[in-house]
Amino acid sequence: MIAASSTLTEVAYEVCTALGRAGFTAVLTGGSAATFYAPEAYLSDDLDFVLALRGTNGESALRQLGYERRGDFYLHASSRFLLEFPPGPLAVGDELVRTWSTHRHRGKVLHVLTPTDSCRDRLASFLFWNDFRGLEQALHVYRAQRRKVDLGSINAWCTRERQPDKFELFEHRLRARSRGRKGR
Amino acid sequence: MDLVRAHRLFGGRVRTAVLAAIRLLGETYPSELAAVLGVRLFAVQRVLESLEREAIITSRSIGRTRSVSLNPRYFAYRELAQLLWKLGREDTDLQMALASRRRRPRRTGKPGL
Repeated sequence: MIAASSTLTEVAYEVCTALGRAGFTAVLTGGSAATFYAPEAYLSDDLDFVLALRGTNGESALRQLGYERRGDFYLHASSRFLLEFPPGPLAVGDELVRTWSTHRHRGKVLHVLTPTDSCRDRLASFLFWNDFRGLEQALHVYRAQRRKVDLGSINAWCTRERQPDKFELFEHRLRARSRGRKGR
Repeated sequence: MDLVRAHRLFGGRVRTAVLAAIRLLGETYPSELAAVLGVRLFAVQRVLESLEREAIITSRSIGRTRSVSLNPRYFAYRELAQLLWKLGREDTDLQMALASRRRRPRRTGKPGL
């Protein structure tokens, strides 16, 4: 059940599970995926799900959770977190995303971008719009999930996007933080 | 570390910070620069006018907004861009200030936003 006190992650599990029962595969992306991986560092106000597989009666499943449609968004009477379903396909920049992480908790399921793709997704704002907010979010995800993030793959992607200097800045910030830690 | 704002390399702290911010943002406008650098709009505008007179930056009007960027036709554009990038890369405070403003487009019609 979704309540005013539900966290973004709790809401994400509820929505993904309810949609899954209706035959949808909904993958958490964007800032909400970053919040899932780094909840103490960054809090998104909404949940972005991209539908990798469509089922039927999704509206009804969301209504049963307490969500009502308002245009392209879904609002909950109690929860501050609104839902959005950006048009697919699941992608970062021009590159399609074909795999994601699946988490299970107390009988609920949640599909979410992998930590590496969540980093790439946040960095995309930095690469394409010079949005330093995206850089900070990518740094938060990396720091929270460093063992699960493939830096080489992010580097290769930035190179393909002809933005090696942006990756270099990202890596520079990571190294600066490591040096700071060692100095303590 | 606050290299850029401490630097007077380009004739003054504000002038150096404005140039580094323009390099990091690619394209920006006076009120954004004033907000992220914590400098009065008038001071930013004065710096921009001077930089444009020297052909270091270029500007164009987008509606009521005057957008500014480094001038790619400046004779030392490539070297200047590299130096400014390096200065900006070292200045975490400047990057954090730039992160205070969202630049990625937001979808229209979002309730409550």
